[in-house]
Amino acid sequence: MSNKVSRSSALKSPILVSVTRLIRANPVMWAIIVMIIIFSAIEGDAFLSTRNFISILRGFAVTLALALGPTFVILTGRLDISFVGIWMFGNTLAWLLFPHMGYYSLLICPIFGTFIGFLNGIIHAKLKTPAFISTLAMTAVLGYLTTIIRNWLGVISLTVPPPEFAQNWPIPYLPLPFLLALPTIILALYIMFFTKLGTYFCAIGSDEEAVTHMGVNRDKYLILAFTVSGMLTGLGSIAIFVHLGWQAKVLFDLDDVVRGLAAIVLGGTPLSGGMGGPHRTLLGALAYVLIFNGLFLLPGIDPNQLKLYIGALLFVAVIAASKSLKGVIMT
Amino acid sequence: MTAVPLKELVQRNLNSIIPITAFIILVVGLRITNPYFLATRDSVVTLALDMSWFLIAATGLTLVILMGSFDFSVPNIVKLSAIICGVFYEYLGFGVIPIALLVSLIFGLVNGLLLARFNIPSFMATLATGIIAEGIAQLISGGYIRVIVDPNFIALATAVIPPGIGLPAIFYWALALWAIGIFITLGTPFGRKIYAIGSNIEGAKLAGVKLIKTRILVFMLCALYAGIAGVLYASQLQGSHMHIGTLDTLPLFSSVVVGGTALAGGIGGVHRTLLGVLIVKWLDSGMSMVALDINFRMVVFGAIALIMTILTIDRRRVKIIR
Repeated sequence: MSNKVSRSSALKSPILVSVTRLIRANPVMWAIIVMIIIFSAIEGDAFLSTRNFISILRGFAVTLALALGPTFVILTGRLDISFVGIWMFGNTLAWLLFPHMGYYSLLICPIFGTFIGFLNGIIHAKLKTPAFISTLAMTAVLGYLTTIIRNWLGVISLTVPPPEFAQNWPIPYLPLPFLLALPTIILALYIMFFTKLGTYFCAIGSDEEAVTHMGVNRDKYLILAFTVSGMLTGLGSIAIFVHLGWQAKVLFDLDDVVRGLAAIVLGGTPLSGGMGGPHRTLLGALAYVLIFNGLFLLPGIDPNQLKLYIGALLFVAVIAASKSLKGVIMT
Repeated sequence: MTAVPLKELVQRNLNSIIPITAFIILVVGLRITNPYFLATRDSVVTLALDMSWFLIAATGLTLVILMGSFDFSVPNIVKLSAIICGVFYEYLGFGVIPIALLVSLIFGLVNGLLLARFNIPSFMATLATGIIAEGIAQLISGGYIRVIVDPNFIALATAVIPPGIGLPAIFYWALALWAIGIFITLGTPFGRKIYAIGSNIEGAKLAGVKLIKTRILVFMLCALYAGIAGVLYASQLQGSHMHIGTLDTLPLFSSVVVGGTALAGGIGGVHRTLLGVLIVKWLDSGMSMVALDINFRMVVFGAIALIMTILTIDRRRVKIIR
């Protein structure tokens, strides 16, 4: 197969070859390409406009901020859904500290995320608790605490006044949330491909017992996976803070969990772990954003149907991802 | 017979000791803070109405958790079933009940198929189907409150038995369904299979348990329980609205684990769930009596779920916890 590709590559331009390789390795690329073609054909004016391009980039940044961190935990075969809690409560902390520290208070988000991620790791690896339920409880506790803080302080929204440069954003085509998500993307790709962590996470996900027998300190790397996840989510939540108009989200909704998980699963990181990674989540997030962006430009979409589409999308995504789950009995 | 050291005895029976202790503390505490607690007929009826549909749904969820899986869609199936009753009652009359139960069963079948056939973790699969169920409920109700005025349908849950002095019918429904749940798990071969799958899935497979069939059946049973809970809740509420079950994911789950059913499966049982439901529901009403924020109550249930999950798992048996 590879022989054939290299022979024909002599005739094609290198860009075309790398694009073909990208499509071969990631089936979700087909979905992205097909969606772009269909949506531009049906609603070309609205879909291809500058405004829509910016809105896609913003949605892409938000989805990535939620999905990049948990990808590392899913690589190890666990599930981390504490990202909604880290996002909401981290942003609330930033809002609380804003009067004292100014815009530097946003730096509390990654610090808080790292701390919660570490805590999740300890609870899972040392206390031997199923990860999805401990992180679910964590997310619920943090999410509802945000609402409690809002109610106690008696304010409606936790909003910070935007700085001067954000009010008249000078750069065309590139919105601020997207630029703020870039460090998260770079950091995630760096951890995956330029440190040994990515390899170890994949190893734990593919065969946990073998890895333990080979002398790898499994608990340490599990805790590290959760910590990395929390840190990336915290870092990314700054972009969401800016996207929502410099405010923290205050009402906890379990549906936010779906956005991150759907992007990961659509990208092609199987829930049993062992393969995939943040580079696939990039594509998954793009596909997720494109679907909803294109869908809501269609005339006659009933907002009552929104839930149904989200559910159906997750449904299709998990079935599509189930191919790679053979061999392990899931519970 | 060798004497077992006290420490080990306590450790082994932790999942019985904690619920009973918590229950006694709770009853004493509520009794001290509120002299009317369980003292008047009104308070007993209120508590019975509050816990009945919850007990039915929790019984179904226990079956799934006992098997080592998880069902996120239970509150949403309750909601969908109630909404089907509310929306279509004026056209179909009592015909809505089989339809609601059938829809619930279909959701259970899909959940089971996704887990057993496609090998998708039940957590993800039921998250997806739960959102679909909620989406359908939103679509057919349009988000409006529906009222059922037919006294026959309302009497299904609220008829007082014996008349005048007893408890509402939904309470007896709940107890009966709970007893059926106990019979299924402890008195039938099917129940032993559920325990076997929960304790050691590989072993159960080697012992000849038909994994696919059993797991699908358990999920269908769980969804059926949720559907019945929805129908009875619609009858109790005299209608339906979109907020049924919205905040009940955590309390439902808490009530199962507080009873002493371990999340990893194989330990506990439906018989423990009554105690768990009583603890969660009475704690809930106790907290609302002292006017605590609903968000604060959710934080408490999240913490309870987390702590009980940590305490009840038998770590000697499970090698890899995911």
